[in-house]
Amino acid sequence: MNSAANPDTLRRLGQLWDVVVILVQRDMKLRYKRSALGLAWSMLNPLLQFGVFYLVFRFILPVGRENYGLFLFIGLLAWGWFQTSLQIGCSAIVDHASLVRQPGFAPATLPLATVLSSLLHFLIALPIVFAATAIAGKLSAALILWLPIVVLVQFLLTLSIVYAVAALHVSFRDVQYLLSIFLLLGFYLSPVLYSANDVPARFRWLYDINPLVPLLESYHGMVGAGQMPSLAPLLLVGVGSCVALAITHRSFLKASRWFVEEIGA
Amino acid sequence: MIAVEVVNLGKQYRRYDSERPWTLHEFLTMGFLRHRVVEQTWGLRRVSFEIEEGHALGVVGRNGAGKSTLLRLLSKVLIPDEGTVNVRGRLGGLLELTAGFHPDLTGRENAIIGGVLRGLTRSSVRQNLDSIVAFAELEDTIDRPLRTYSSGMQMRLAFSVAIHSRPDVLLVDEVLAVGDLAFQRKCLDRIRELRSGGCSIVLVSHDPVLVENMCDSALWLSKGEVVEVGPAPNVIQKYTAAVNALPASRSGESVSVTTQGVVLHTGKNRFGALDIEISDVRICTSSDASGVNLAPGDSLTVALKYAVHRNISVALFSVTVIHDDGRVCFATKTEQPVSKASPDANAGCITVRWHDIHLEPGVYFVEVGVYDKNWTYAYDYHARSYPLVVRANPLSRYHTLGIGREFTAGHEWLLDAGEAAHGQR
Repeated sequence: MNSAANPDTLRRLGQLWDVVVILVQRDMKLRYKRSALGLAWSMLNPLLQFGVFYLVFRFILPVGRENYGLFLFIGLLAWGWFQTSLQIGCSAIVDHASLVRQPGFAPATLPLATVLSSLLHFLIALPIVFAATAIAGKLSAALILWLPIVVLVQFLLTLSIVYAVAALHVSFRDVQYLLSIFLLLGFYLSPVLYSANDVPARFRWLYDINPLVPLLESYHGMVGAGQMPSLAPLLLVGVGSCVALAITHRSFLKASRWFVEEIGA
Repeated sequence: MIAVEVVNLGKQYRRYDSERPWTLHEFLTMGFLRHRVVEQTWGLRRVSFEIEEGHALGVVGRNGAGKSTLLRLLSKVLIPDEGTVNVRGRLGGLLELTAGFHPDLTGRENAIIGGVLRGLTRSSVRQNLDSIVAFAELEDTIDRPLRTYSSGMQMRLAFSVAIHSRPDVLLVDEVLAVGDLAFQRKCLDRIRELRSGGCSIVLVSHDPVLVENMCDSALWLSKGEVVEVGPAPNVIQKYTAAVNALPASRSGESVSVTTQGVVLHTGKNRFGALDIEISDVRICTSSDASGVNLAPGDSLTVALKYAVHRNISVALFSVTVIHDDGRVCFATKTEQPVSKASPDANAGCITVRWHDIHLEPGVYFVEVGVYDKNWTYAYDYHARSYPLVVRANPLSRYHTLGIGREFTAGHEWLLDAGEAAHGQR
């Protein structure tokens, strides 16, 4: 680390960044290459999901929350970013075996590229959020100022988990399957469709240990009510994610020495 | 200066008492108990050598001798169990050339991706892009999607990208068996050029003649151990002698003669490991049963006899007519793998017939090849061995009538009796 100013190290980091950039570009190009709908296509899935949940929780089992549409939409987007990153990131190493076998290729770029390209999809949908918030008269300085920080914390948290699952999946091929169960349960146990404040006290502990809760609550507060996020829990998750990322990234690097052996020829 | 230093290198492979891959579920419930190592075998052991800057080392040996393991250890994607590998400078590989390529992206997009994944920065790939495209001879098609490329064009692009990554040490796997001969030569010339610029080369090949031509020194591996290492001519001579002395008397036999008297010399006009060998090629045209002269409107029949030396059940065949200048005039390949007539048949015959061929006067060659089921690897390829001569004929005006320089009414594949259904028109 003390060699950060060394030109060779800088060149190497610059090249690694280029690898991440072209992996993300490749992903985006592939996603839009064949579809005439292009960008609209990436919005279709969250919009449909939104439509169904809106139908259910506005009209069939009404939750009676003001601006529920906005509340729901930002929650689904944020969860979508988290879920897609984990699902795709989990198999990133196994799916790119031929790259991992190339001399000099850094496997650590693959999970990072996955999280970034899911982040781009999240960002592409944000203008809709801003427009809808403005129409509802809730657009606030809190949203514009704090959104990047909340996004950054979610990025660190997601990446730290993706490094762990991606490395585990190389050795244990049922990780992806277990992860999808975990994500399905996690979706309902995280405050995406509802607010953590609605949770009865005796179940609150479940939400106190879930690092996604402060993030989702921040999104909900900023978008639905124009509130500033509560800083203490956000800071805690942010610091925790940094520590977790340092640990999982390091473990990933250690494990990556064995990837080719594990994947096989 | 020493560019590559390998000391007492060894790599073990472990076999477990249960089939991998493991599941996390098992691991959490039963711990390590379920998977005991029952066998450890050395995939490579006691390998030591040095390569000077700008020198080339050829690695020969039969399948399973440890050549790929050695390449992966040099690539540092496998961790040795014994010994050390030291490589000075940047490593580049002509290994799995199309890694990172995607059929839906254009040639240009794939070239940029390939270059960056091989260690270049985006800006340096862009600077080199014209030269990459020019080397691959793909100026006209570079902005078309890769899926519209033939496999030869894809290999040319991939090779061109890989060679432009300016490595200090270049690892070359048996990739040169693919592509047309003219391009193969160009690739070899480029590798020589890199070498004279100070790049060290490790060339893994089944082809002893190629190693002898390209390399200063050679390493002969057998069952993971070094049989011989030293100056290329000495090692290759011993290697060739040993392989020729094998009772099966096949792979590595460097010179053979077909029943038509055509001499096939491994590494000169014949390439591949000869796991499947094209033992005889009979060519005949409507106007010449000996198959040398071709008159306008002739049909051209190329019959390949093949012998299967290893337990391979399916293979693909190609027959190409090229002009003396290397331009491909007609090319055809079996679209589906050809299966053996019966499981224990170890020989067969396959024929392709073109109808109503018109070619400009000149000298042409028929080239034939047999490949593995994915077209990644040629078992046997005969290059520039079977000439075809089209004489100038004042009565023939086809090529001036707008039909073009080459024309054929079509072709068909004919297989051994009993398996005709696998052919392709």
